[in-house]
Amino acid sequence: MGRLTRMMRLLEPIVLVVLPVLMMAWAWLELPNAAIVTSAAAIVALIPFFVSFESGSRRARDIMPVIVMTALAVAGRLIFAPVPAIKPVYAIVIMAGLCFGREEGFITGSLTMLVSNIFFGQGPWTPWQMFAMGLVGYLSGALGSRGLLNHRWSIGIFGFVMVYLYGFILDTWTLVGFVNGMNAGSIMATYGAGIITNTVSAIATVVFLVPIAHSWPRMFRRIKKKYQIGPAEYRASS
Amino acid sequence: MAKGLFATYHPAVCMLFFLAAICFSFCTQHPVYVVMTCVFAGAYLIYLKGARPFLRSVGAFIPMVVFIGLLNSLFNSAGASLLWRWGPFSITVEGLCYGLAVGGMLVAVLLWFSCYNEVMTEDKFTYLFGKRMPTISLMVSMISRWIPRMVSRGHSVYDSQEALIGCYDQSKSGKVKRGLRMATVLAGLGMEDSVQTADSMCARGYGSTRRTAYARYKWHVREYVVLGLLIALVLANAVLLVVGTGSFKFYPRMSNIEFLWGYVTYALMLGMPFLVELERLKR
Repeated sequence: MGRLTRMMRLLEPIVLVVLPVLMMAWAWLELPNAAIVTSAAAIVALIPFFVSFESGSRRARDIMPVIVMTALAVAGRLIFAPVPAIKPVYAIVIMAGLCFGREEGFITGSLTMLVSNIFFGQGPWTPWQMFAMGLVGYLSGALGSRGLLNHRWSIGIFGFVMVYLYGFILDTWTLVGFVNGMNAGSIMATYGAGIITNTVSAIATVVFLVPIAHSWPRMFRRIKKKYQIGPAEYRASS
Repeated sequence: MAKGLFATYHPAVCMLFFLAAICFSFCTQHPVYVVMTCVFAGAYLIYLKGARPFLRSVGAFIPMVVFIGLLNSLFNSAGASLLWRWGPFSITVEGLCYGLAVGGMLVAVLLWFSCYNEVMTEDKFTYLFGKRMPTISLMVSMISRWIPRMVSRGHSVYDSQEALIGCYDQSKSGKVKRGLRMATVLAGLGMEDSVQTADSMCARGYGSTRRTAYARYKWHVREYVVLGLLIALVLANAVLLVVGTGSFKFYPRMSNIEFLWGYVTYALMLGMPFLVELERLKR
């Protein structure tokens, strides 16, 4: 592992905290040009993750889990067309983080949003969606590696909370970037507009996550062992 | 050329143009600037795709723009000239204008993104970033390949399960269960398949040396001219924007709109896709 990778890996948790705080501060002080500054901040926040993924020692087969999980998450929207309420995106990103580590989780989450926006339209929201969905994958990897997500229901609750976290981050970005003069009214209107969609997808995510909570990690453990998948430093331990 | 001359320029030039257009559109709520960037973005999108797709994409983002505009005007009582009051809500002329300006800014950015999607196709993006981020750009193109593969696999899994089990319960829980089983099958199948892809890549020399691109873009004189013009205009605009629009205020009363030299440079910068068409006159 090179020095660059190590440095970037150190930066990751710092960036995850600094960015939301910066956003709040910008809103609080009512500084100008919030839309461009917050978008730029999200792009900057993505850099350490992508650089450390890029410079990590991954062989061709080590990048395959991210590709398969991302493709599954994007295709899920098409496959699950008969059941519109279920969007497996959150569940699959959480599984990616849980089964393949927090970096893989982050990259799966952010690439899912990047690629699905190729189909559904890129916009100023892309960096923030990439950051927020990446965060979902990162957190599931970080908690999973401490054994906190081993229980069926702890994963369910985690998934439920993550959907709201994602919605909260994006709504806050709308508020900071595009609304001048924040007050109780505009704050409630912004968060209120998303509450029904968020609740539906949170329930759907739990419905999706709980049944696969044990079977998917078992399946991926077997495949990882069989084909020796994973970055060199993880491979030795598992 | 269906997409106009500008799309045939070197991807770096196009990228710089779109970056500048989007950033500047984001940076100012000065009414004249907002109207200008909307007009240029709309005109370019119509030029690229025609009027009907333009109207369709405008229709698609109207709800979001209206929501943002309303948020800005409905809950903001900072303006001086009151139009309408109902309980805690009050609409002022200034608040309404500010909402319109922010909405217009959003429209412009979305229109520029639509133009970007037309001009900066995936291969150009890979050409620009393939050398700097080889793994990520490879992954993006592989994912694009895997999505249709997943969908077609999904159909065959569905068909074979239907053939095996015969009849399905059409209840909601039955559908969900079936969806879950399909996702599980696809995930396992995909992982095993992908290892084969990886082995095949390694056998063909993936990772043995630096990646090269199928380069079709060269730096001609026209690229240097347009790049120089763009850089000069970006710098000029940055200075003039800060100097000129700083005096414009929405609250408590709107300032008067005066003529600024910044309008000219801004129009020149945003009109670059049309300016390069002048090349045709030479022939």
